[in-house]
Amino acid sequence: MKNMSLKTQVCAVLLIGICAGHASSAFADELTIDGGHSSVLFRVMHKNTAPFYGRFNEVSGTFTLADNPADSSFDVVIKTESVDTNNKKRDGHLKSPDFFNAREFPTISFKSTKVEKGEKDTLKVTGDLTCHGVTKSITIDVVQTGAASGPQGESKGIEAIFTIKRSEFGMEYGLEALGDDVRVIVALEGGKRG
Amino acid sequence: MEFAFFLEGVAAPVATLVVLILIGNRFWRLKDERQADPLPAIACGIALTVAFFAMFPKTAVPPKEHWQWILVVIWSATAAALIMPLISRITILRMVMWIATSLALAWLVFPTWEIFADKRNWWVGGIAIAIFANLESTSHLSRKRHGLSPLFMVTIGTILTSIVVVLANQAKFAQICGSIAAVLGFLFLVCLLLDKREPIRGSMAFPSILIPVLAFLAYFFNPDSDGKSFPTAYVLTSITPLMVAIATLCPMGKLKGWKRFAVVQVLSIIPVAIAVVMLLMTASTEDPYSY
Repeated sequence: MKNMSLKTQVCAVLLIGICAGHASSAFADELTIDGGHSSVLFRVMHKNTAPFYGRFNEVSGTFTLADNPADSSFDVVIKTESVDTNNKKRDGHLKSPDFFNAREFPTISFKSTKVEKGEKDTLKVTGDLTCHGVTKSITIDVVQTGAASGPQGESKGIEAIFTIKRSEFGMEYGLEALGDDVRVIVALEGGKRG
Repeated sequence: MEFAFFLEGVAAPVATLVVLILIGNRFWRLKDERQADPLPAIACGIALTVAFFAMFPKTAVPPKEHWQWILVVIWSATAAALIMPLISRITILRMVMWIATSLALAWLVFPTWEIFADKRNWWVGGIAIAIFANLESTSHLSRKRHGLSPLFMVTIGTILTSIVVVLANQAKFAQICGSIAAVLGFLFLVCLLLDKREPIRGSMAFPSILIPVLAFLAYFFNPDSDGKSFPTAYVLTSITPLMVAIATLCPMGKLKGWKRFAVVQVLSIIPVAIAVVMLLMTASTEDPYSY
């Protein structure tokens, strides 16, 4: 560097900067899910009359949103024990072996295996959903809801709404009173861990 | 849902039990009532297996979920019910058999989850002692003629056990308790009608094993259980068959007839009734409505 002119040095610095920028977009950063700003809701029909909503209060994991969809990935873990329907008795029943069997299966997880470009800002994500000890491959549409950068670093948001049949995951209890189709709404905010 | 449970958990096993007892009684009568009659034990075992598969048709063999081992416990109880009258007078053999059975079942039903791992030996030992105490005490009942009243008492105890497990948020186990109560209750009725007065020779092995197993499993699966505090209510529930034996065998002075029956009945269900009250007092009261 000693013999380099100032012009050459500036060009070198710019070149390194450009390369680094490309590298960061090609190998997108892994974002850690911010449990405090993420939501996992579920909707199920009660007595075929009205939809009922519940939620899980503890969600964690990581996701990566790359320019090339194939490089994106999702690894989400939900604590079954954190199920919350605003009724302690019902929550206790949901944690029992009739439903989630929270003692034996403490987590619900989703791990992507293939990500493709979907319509507009969506990604078609195929992955393994494990719930109640049963693993099934599902494909869901994930919408990229936004991105922000601030003093705490870069953060990105995604949302996915999909429907599963609880009976396919070994939860057949009370199918007459509680619907089989469960609509799941997952809204995640992830940021770079500093 | 209630009607489905009635069909699968009550009607199916009761129909199985009644048909098996009627057919068995028609073609196979014991010449001497002092002999061990295997019919009630076999009928109860098959009826409870029918109930289990009717209520939970997707039960995997071998089990995929811990609670599904209850099916193996039912079969073990059937085996115990068959051998109980045969070994009730052979002290050493009986003790060895019951200790082995109790330890094996306690080891089988104790879950390997982290929350209970610290005191694993205490838990296994506690469950084994409860099962052993029940089997040993009810074995003494099968030595002499006590009629059908212990069967009636343990049926009431099983109904109360179902309330205990419901209060532990375990509806599935309550359904199984309901099936056991239905089977024992109808065994009592059928035997009463057929004037078959000694079905307790062996049949008491079912509640002796299944009540403690279901009570402890309800505790383990209850999300409120911390694995540290002593599970008093569940221990009191699990010794219901022991209390039935004690109440039946203890002398009642001059009491006879229905007075004796009433006193024995009350004595035998006191611990499980206390358990129900204890759990009711600690049950959540924050829910203003039933879900």
